[in-house]
Amino acid sequence: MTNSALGVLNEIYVHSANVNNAMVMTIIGIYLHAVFVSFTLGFPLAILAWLITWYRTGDALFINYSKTLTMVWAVNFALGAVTGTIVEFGLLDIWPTSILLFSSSAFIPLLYEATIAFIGEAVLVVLFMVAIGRWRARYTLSVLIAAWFLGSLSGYFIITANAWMNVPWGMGEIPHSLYPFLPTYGPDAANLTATLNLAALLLHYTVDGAGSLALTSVNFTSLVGTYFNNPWLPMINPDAIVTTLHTLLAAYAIGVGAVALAISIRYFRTHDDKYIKLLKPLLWILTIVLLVEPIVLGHFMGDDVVTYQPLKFTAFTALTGGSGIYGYEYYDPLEALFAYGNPYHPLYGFQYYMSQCRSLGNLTFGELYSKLDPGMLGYLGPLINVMLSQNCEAAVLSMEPLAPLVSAFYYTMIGAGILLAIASVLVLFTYLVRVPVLSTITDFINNEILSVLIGADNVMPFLASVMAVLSAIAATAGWAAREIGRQPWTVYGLITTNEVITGDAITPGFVAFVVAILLAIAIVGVLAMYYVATRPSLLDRIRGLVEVGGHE
Amino acid sequence: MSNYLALLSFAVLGFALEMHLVFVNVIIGATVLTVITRYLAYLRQDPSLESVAKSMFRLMVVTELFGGVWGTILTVFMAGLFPSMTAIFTRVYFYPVAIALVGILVSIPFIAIYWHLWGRVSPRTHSLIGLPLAISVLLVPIGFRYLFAGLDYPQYVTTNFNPLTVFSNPVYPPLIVHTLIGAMDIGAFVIASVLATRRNLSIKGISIALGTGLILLVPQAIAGAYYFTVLGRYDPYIASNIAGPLLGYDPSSVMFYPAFYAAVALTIALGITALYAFYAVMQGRVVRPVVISTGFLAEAILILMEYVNDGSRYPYLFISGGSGIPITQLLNTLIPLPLIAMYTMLLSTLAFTAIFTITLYYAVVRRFLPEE
Repeated sequence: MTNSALGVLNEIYVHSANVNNAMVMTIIGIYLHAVFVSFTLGFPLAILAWLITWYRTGDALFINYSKTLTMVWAVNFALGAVTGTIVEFGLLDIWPTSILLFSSSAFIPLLYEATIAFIGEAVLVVLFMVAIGRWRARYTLSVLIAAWFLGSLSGYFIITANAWMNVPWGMGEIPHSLYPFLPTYGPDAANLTATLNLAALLLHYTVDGAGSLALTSVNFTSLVGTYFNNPWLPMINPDAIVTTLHTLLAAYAIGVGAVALAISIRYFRTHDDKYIKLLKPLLWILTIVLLVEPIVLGHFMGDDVVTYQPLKFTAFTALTGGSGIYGYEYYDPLEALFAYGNPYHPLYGFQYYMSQCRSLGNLTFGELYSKLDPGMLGYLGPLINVMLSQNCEAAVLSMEPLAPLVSAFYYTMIGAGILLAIASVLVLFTYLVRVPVLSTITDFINNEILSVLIGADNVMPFLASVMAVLSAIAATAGWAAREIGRQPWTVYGLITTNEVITGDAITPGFVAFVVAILLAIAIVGVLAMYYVATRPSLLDRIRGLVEVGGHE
Repeated sequence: MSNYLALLSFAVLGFALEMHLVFVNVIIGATVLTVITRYLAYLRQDPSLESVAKSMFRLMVVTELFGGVWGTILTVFMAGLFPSMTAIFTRVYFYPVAIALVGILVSIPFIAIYWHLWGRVSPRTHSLIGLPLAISVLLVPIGFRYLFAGLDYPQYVTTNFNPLTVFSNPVYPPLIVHTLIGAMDIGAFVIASVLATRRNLSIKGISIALGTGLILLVPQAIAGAYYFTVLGRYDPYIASNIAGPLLGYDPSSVMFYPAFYAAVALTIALGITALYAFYAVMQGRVVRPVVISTGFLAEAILILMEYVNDGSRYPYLFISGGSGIPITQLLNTLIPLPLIAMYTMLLSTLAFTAIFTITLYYAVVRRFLPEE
């Protein structure tokens, strides 16, 4: 590869200082938002479980704790909304090419999220605060379930936007034409000329300093034209559906797990049996979610990666595949079994992808555009003499150094998932249902081993705590593997991360300032939730004020 | 079809903006008035004044959530329907947007801290904490209003563009002065309205709110005239559409100047109504319907004036002098905009706005927030 080609391709594929700096604050911001959102999705399930128990048993303990958790949920929802606004503006301001997604593949998901799911959820959360313990059961539960459903729908819309970045459904053969190791992404809903126009503009401005500047031309949309003909397609992206189910269940587990953890800690401190009563309804949700999520949906997620993101799959196996991943092919029986249903099936290393790249021959960008889109030749600049195969190889090479990190996150998730499944089985067959043989085994482990180690009374809350902590670890690691594994692209096979970043300098000082503020929001948010959680009669006190017409 | 889509998109964006502003003006006004009232309560050692400040702050907190919801909707509409305009905003107005974001980021912990520490630290310390809270809330319009000034006096990306030049936009000073005084005015009248709905009336609170609103009407009118003069100089197209033939202009559309004069008439009505209500309060009487109507009038004036301010640029988005960049040029053509999706969104937002209004009645009027 010539020096000039290498220099140009580095501008496209090797993270710039701006990208590295911006990533720090974006990652923290998104994780912070994810924590609040997970609680927002999980808390209503815990409230639902307690309310149903209250309706069935009449035990006031459950309604009292439902009210307390409702206040925590409301505070948390507000924090989620605020951090969501920050993340949204962060995307637009720091990663301005993401505006392209807002106005194309993510147009319908994001607009529906804002105008149906989010606004509806906000209204119903407040309405539920009015209703709980006062309206008839069926109305109260209806409002709660509707709020939870709209929250989950919000998750589906947001994940649909994210899933398109991982699997650009509807772009058909285009990514495969540039990177031959990539598959076909659904039907051909992309206009080839318009997509080439878009690519030329983004590449031109990226090589020139910042790809996002392409969008700042008032003629941008007319220069590109209609590049994506079916804006509804992302809604049925197979990755969106699987990822939505997987992520939502993970969020439910984290939210319900957080409540279970808080209750368990209270029990460890006080040994008051009321906490065990409160824990049991939550364990039903946790065990079911945690058995379905990692085992069933985790498998489908893995299938998606194998099918649609081959580079990411190779990176996943870096820790078990060893140096083999840098070769042509290697053997990893366990991964091969799950990926292909055949333990002897070879897994492809980075050299395999490089060889696929070479199948593009000596065709240069200049020749490609001369043939298909001559009007944009002027935008190619130094790229005009770069070969498509060199471009493809640069993409593969840029992923190689990240592979061990991606793999570490992947196996952390797998390990946490296995432990979660074990904990769930131990809870399910000892404390929730009795099944011959299985319950005997779990009883033995719980009563003869764990109880000796931690005390008989502590086993159930201990398992609940383990499930809560491991859920958070699995979700954090899993999301990191998914998103880092998407490199070097922001939109897989189409738009690189360097093409998305702002042209303004993101200095370390600015990053430090934003991170400090995000941490302050995290701390204040946690304190606010703790404050509300430790004042059981808060909701009744507020409503008392309403009933007397607002006495000070 | 393209023109219809452009008009629909422009209207949808305007609708979201109006809804957002209805709430954020109350947020800004209520925050500043809370901080000032709380400080006065400390100076005068007046518990009843402190109670008024608490009422103001409660209103602000409830409004904050819904203001945020509409802010999100507005942003999504903006990026989805007008991608280049949004990209220009994020590039050319990077620093103003950063200022606004810093305001949002800093205000959130301060809102929580200010609430939590009320009564837990000395009144002097608590009053001091109010200062960064008020500043951070004010930073939000201070930053975002540069985008509106940028629509009226565009500073596009050039090869050697210096992002700091946006701070010299001549339309900005009158716009931000008009905005901030207006926000405090609206906040004051809405607070007066909410306080007048209570069974146990706070005469002192209502008189403070009404008095503040009344006093601010004067500088607000002056700021409005100043803003109009600047518009006349830099954007005669907008000035003409706003003022219409009554002031000797030849407007290109009849859609806006009637709304402007209606807003002026409502402002006069607000002045008279507020004056009467204030006089009655000074006599120890609260004429509830009159006091409550001041909040509605203030919000109605805001809606009409913002409609005139933003709509009168039609069919342009960025405007300079007598012409500009048409909406059709900046409209999203990257996908075929699905009309059914647009209608669904409108229907949904209208439906939820209705439920939202009922919920808001419970949340604000019925004081659905804790005392501590």
